Amino acid sequence: MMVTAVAIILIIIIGVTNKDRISLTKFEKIIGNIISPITKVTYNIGNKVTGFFSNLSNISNLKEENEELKIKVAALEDANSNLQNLIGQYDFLKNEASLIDNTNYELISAQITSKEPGNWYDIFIIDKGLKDGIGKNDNVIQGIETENGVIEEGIVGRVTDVGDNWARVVSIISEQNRISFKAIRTQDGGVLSRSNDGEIIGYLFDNEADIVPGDKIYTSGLGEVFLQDLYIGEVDEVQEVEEELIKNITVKPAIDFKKLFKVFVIID
Amino acid sequence: MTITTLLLILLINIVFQSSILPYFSLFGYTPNTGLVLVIIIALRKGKYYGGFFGLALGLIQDILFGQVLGINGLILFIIGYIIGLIQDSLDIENIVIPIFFSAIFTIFYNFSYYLILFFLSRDILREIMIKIVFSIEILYNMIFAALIYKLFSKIFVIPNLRFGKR
Repeated sequence: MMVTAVAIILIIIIGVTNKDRISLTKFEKIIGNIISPITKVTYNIGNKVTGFFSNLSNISNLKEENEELKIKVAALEDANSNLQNLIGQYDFLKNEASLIDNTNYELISAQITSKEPGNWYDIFIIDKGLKDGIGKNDNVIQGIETENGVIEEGIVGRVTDVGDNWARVVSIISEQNRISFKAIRTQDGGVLSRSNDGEIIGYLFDNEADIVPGDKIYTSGLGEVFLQDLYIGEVDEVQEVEEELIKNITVKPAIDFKKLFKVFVIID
Repeated sequence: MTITTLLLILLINIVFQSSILPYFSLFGYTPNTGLVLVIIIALRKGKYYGGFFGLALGLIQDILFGQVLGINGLILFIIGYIIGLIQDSLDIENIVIPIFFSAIFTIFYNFSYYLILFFLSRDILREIMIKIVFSIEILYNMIFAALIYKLFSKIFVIPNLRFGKR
């Protein structure tokens, strides 16, 4: 009897909370406020511990590494003379750096404190919240170095719920909302709709579009949830579905979601 | 006394599972120690403890990480209660039982998770569902079931009846 009652209540709760809520209830905020500082500490410990173990496993490689390093030193001396050359181009580089600075948004640095335990979604909690000025639907990014060495904003996800000193971030690979994108080379647009094994699957608006594997994909800013021109990743595979007259693409995100530790939040 | 211990276990598990375990995931799958705990506590303590421990644990996980409140709560509550129901007729001192149950109920957990998401009209491909439901997580959970079971046989000692001199 009681079991049925509990089950029915839970099913009702599931039904009611299955939509985009404007803000969290007080009760949820309190629980988050208590647990998020604890997990912040333990997450740091976990990070240190795995670092320690990977250091240990490196000891056996020391001898090999020594040989490699000797070769490397020679190479570096060569590179050093090249760098002298670069110093001569200081002015040019400075301009480039300031250009990168100018395109930046207002950022808040945040650390991840815990991750969703299940395997269905990639959701994590960060240690900044309402008090730091973070709001719902803020974009979460990380610096990503693209091929030519330029640091760009790589999109990680967006904030879905905010507590006082914590916020919940849903990564783009488990995003339920569709992400509108454009390919930078041909300016073709499309929508990313679902993910599979860490890759995101989407389709192009134009089935004649000339997209090839290796093209870079950016957010287009349509839909106004994700800001414009944030780097998503590279096209991995292009598939033509003849019957449906659409072109599907698989995108490999630039960000390694399994190894996230520090992220930035863009404040509107 | 039991309730305090259970609350402590619950809190430790939440912290451990969400902040330490992600670093030890195999092929991208993390073990679900919460589920294993619910199974073992239901085996040891019966349907009410099992059910409500699952409910509390699941709800906290939902509040912290879930986009929808109550999914974990409902599944873990049902799992705890079902195992609690049949707990009487099982030899709980046998370590095979928690290991076997954790394999079965990992599949049950992930499949019912998919079912609920399906009825909430979330777009999940069937092949991805099969990949997640029959993943290496089953094996991982079985290992953790053995470890946690060993640990718990020290915490929940069944008192011996003593007669006469000590």
